[in-house]
Amino acid sequence: MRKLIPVVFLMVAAALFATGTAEEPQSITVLMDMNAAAFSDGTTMRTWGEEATDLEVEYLSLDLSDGSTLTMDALIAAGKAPDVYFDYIGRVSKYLVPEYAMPLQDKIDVSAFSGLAAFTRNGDVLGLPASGGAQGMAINLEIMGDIGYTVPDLWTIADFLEMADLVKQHYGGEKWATGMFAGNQSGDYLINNWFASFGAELYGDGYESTTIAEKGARVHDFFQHLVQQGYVPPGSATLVDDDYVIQWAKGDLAATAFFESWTKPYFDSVISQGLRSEPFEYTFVPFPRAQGVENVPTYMSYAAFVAHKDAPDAAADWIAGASGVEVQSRLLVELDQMPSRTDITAVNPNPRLAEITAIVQAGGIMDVGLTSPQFAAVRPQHYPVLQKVLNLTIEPQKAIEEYAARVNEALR
Amino acid sequence: MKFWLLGPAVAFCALFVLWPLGEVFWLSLNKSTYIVTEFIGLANYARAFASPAFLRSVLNSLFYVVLVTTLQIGIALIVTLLAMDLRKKWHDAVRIVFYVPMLSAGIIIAQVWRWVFHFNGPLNWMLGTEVAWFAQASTGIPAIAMIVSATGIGGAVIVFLASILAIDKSLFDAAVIDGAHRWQIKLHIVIPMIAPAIGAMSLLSAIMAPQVFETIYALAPYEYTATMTFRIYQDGFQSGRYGLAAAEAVVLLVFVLGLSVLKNRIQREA
Repeated sequence: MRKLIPVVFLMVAAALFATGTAEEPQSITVLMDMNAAAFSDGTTMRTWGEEATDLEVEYLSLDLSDGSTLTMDALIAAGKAPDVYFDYIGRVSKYLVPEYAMPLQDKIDVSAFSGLAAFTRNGDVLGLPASGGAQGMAINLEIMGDIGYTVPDLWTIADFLEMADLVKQHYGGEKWATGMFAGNQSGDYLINNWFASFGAELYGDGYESTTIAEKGARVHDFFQHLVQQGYVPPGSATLVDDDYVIQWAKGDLAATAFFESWTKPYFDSVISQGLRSEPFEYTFVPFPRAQGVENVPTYMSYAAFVAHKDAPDAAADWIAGASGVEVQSRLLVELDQMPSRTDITAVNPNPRLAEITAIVQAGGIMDVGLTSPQFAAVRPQHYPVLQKVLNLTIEPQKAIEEYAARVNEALR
Repeated sequence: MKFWLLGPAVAFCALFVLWPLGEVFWLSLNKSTYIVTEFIGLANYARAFASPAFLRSVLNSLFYVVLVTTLQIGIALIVTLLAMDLRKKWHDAVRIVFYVPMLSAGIIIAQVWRWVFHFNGPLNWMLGTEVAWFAQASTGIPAIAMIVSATGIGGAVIVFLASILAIDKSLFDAAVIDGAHRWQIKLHIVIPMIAPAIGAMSLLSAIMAPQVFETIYALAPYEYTATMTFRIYQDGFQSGRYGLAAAEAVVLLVFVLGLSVLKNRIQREA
């Protein structure tokens, strides 16, 4: 027994010595959506992180069941803010404030990123944009063939309504001209595209108050016309995004807002559920324009990174890699995303992306204040009003005034 | 020495009730995103009472209090008065049958009701209607109140049945000798005898009603069906206005305390 004691002592000493000299991998926490793997950048980011870095990354699960910033806020309130938060810019923007975010310009070469002004506060770059996608109006060519309609160049609201009537006559309520949902806040992209069609802008100069009431009543009037004529699915006031995307992928909507990056996963979903046997042909065109409207900008959504101000430098290293040329090139090609870097040379041969790019080049991107820290508070303000609009229980003018008042209250 | 025995209970209460209450009250005096917190006094309360959505939720909560309490206590009472005539072994069956829904998760029960109330669901099929039940307050609130009531009657049935079984049987015998019918006995002897239990269960039901959450979250997460609790969730977690949500939570606390005081006063005067 006595002979064993020195041996044990030596073993313990060796173990301690080994622990002391080995280089420990740096450890960070990253909060991002890992569930919607087929659409989100999450899988690529994670794969990249595991392949290319020696960081020990703990991925925290992001709850997006109501589209809010609930997970982040709960973590912050508990004193466990993640080192890196990667998510939809509309949620990340809330944290692009000096009190929370780490300035990145001294840790990462940010010269190749476009649109950095929106991420800059007092000269500090507090976050970085990742890849994303712009929307177009996805035209179901199967339906167009059935009703014998060809979408004209620069089509108008009158053209759209003509098409809508043909859809109604042909399908008798089995398929609809366009989609609509107001059961939750996630339909803002869809609604904002229609606001752009009528030249109504959420903001004028800056994000202090909204200008939506100036021209927005026409949009609500138009929505009520769609409901009254049966051009949108019944019960749209209580439908949610999950209903909408499946309606689209089933081929029930003739012309509606969609991202190209959504098409494959949702086609896969309806085919696996036996709701369709194969995808339908479609094409992207700009949203129709109301009389007197010269330019119709489109909605663009993208993801963004923010690091906590007290996070280790490894957090910035992780962001540098995840937003780098290699990863963004993969996202461009594999997930049909549009890069946020100007130095990407990879090319995606998908003709639908070319159509989206043409729409963006022609009309530009609409400004809905995605990078404003108040965006997350403003975003839920429309759907309660839209419910009343779609239920035909409020006048269009009164509805837009209520919406404007709610936005201004949220901005206070 | 004997007061020290209260220590654990007092400590538990202070840690898990009083301290969080104090935190909520303090938060209600601040504008907070959890990143930046700024003291603004009573401004959140002023903001809450100027908010049509919050005032709507207060009104909705009153509707839920009336509907849920009436339906829940009414149905439970009818069930119990019918069950009291059954043999003793069937009493246990009644208790189990009506209590099982209370053991199930509300969110799962709501999914069953979603199917019942669906546009193409069995309810519309039976009634021959095409109503989107949760698309407006006029049908949404009664539908939710009905679901909450149906799910929650088990507790009241157990309490009422226990109270009835505790009544001295000689009272029933005396009534029968005096020529009272079965329903006269129930109406004039049983119900007055279990009135304290009815009052207590009514109070619990009324306190629970403005706090209905998961049924609304699952079936009709909208302003026009929102209780105060759901509105607090919307303002706090969906819009990130935690100070405002905390102020609304304090108002809810006062609302529930008010109900308790009102009920006690009515019961005392009765």
